[in-house]
Amino acid sequence: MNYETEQDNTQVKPDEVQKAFLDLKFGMFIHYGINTFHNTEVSDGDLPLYNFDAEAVDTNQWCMTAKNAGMKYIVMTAKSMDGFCNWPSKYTNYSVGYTSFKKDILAELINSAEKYGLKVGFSYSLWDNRIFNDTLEDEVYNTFILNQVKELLTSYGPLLELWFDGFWRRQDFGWKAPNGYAVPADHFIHAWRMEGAFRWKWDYLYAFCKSLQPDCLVFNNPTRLFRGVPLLPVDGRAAEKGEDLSENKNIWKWLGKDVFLPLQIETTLSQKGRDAYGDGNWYWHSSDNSVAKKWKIRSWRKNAEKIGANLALNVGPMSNGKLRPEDEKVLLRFQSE
Amino acid sequence: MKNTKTMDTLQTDLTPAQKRWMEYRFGIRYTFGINTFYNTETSEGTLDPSVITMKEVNVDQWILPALNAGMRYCVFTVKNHDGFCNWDTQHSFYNIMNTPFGRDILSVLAEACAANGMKLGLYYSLMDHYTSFKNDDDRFADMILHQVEELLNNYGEITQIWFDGFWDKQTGGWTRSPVDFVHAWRSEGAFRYKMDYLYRSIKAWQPDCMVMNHSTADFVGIPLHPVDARCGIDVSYVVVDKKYWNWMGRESYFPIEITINLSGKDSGKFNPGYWYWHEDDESIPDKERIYTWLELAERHEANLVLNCPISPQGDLRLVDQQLLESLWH
Repeated sequence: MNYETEQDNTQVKPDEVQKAFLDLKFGMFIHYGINTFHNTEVSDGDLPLYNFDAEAVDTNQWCMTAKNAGMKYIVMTAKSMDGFCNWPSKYTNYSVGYTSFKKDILAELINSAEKYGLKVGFSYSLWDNRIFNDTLEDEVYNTFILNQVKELLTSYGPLLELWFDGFWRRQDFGWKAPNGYAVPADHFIHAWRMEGAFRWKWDYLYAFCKSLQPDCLVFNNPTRLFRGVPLLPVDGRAAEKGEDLSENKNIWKWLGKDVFLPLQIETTLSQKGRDAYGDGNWYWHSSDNSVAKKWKIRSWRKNAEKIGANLALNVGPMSNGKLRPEDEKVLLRFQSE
Repeated sequence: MKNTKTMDTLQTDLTPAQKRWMEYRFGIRYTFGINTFYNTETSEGTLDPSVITMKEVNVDQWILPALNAGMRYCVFTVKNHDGFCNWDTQHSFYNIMNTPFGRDILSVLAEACAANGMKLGLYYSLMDHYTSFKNDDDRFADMILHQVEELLNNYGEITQIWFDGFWDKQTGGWTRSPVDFVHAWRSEGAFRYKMDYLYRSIKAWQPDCMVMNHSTADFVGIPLHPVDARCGIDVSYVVVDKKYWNWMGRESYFPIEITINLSGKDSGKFNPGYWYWHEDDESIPDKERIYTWLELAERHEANLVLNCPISPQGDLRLVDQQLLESLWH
C-alpha cells in the first residue's frame, strides 16, 4: 500500500475563494468589547457590564476610514477571551444585549460595511474566561461553542472569514523541545492534532462551519510562537504581529495532499504596549496615543505584498464608539498618497 | 523506553475499563456474513443475500465451547468490507432482515451472551463497498455514526468495538515510521471518518466500550487515535510491543489484542487461515499451538482472540467446537 507520491508543489494553487481573499490584500482588524471600558487587554470574564456605557458605536466611521485607507475588509472581535459578546448571543448573559447600549454591534458593522462595499469577518475566541473552568467537561463547552458559532454564521449573511483565537487553553504539550526552543512547525501541528484538535472537537467544528458557510475562510490563531503555522484543518493561516515575516510557506500537507493556505498578517496601529505585549495595544487605552508612522505602515504593506500575504491593521475604537483620532488620521493620510 | 515500567506503575496508567478488559485475556471472534454463503473472503457489496436461508443460528453452540475454553468475551462481525449488516439497521438495505432468514442475529447473540455471562464485542468495518456514496466523506461518516449509534444503544453492554478498513480514506504516510504514520492518520483518515466525533459519541453512549482501530499488517499494533486499545493480527514476529504511546500530551499505556485464525488454510491474503467458513476447510491447529499463542499473548500482556468461522447453517465448525471443549482436558 505504498502509494504515496511525490507532488510538484508549484502546481498547488489557491482555490477561488482563497484567491478572492488574497485579492483583497488589505484589511482592518478591530478590537472592541468590555475591555475597552476597563483599560485592559485581557480580563477574566467578571468585569461589570454597567461600565459599557457607549451611547453610539460609530461603525460608519470605522468603515468609511477603512474604505478611504484602501482597505477592502474588516475583521471584528465577536468575542474575545473575556467571553464578552458584541452580539446578543442567546447562550450567555455576558453580552452587549445586557448593557445599556443593547444593540447588536456586529449587525451595525455589517450594515455599515455593506454601504462602503467592505467584506466582513469575525474573530471568535474559543477560550472563554466567562464560562470556562477546569471542571467543565469538554463536551459541554464544545456544544456552547457550536451554538455560538451557529449564531455568527447564520445571522449576518455571508462572512469573509471566521478567525478563531485562544486554542492554547487546551494545548498543553508540544510547545517546546527538550532544549527549550520552540519546536519546528510540523511538530507543533502534530502536537495540535494529538491534543488540542481533539479536545476542542476542532474537526467537527471546522466541518460545521463549512456546512453553514462553505465560502467563509476558517482561521485558527497559532500564537506569536508559531506565526503562520496552520492548526489544521483551516482555510488560511494567521500571523499575529507578523509584519516582519520574510518568508511565507503557502503549501502544507493536509488529507494526504499538498494544499494552499493563504496568510493573513495581523498587527496593531498602536505602538505602545503594556506588560507582556510591549509592541502595541489591541484594545483602546486612554493613555495610549501611540500610532505607527506612515512610512512604517507603507513598509508593512510592501512586505506583505512581497511575500503574498494579506495585511490586517488593528484599531481599538474608543469607549465612545469612535476610532482614535490618531488611527483615523494616519489611515486617511496613508490613503492620500 | 517506558516498556520497562513495572506492573505496579503500569496499573495506575490504565483506566478501570482498560484494566477490566485486560483481565478477560481470552476471547473468540465469530466471523459470519454474506461471504459465508459464497465461498469467499471478500466481496464488493453485490452478492445476493437471498441465499441466507438457514433456519436457526445456534448461538449456544457458539458460546458454550468458548466458555469451556476459558474465553470471557466474543467479537462478532456485524459488518465487513462488503457492507452486509448482521443486525437490523435503518441505515442500509443490505442487511440480515432483508433475507429469507429475516432475523436480527446480533440481537439473538446478545441475548445468549447476557444469559451465559459472556461479554459481547463487535467487529465493524469502516470500509463499506455497498454504499453508493463512499466518496462523499460527510455522508459516509454520518452513516457510520448512525450505524454505530444503533449498535451501541440497542444491544446492551458492548465490551469493545473493533474498527477495520480505515485505509480507504488514508492515502498519505504509508512509507513513514509508525509514529509518523499516526500523525499522517491524524491529518487525514481521522478527519475524513470524523473519528474524533465518532469516538466521543461512543464514549457518551457507553463510556466503558473499548474502541480499537485495526492498523493493518503494515503497522501492527499502532494506535490510530483516539482509541482505548490496539489490535494486531499475526504478531508472532513482533519481539517488543511498544505499549506507551503519546495521546493528549501524555505517554499512556494502550493494551493490545491479538487475533489469530483457527483455520490454518492459506487464504492467499495477508494472514494465514480463513476468516470465513469454506466448505472444504476443516483445518485446525493442535492444542499445543494454542498454548503457544496464549504464552505469546501473555508475553505481550495481550488479550488473545481466536477467530472461528460460522457456517451457512449457523453453526460453529465441529472441529472448532471440539478443540475448544478439549482445550484444557
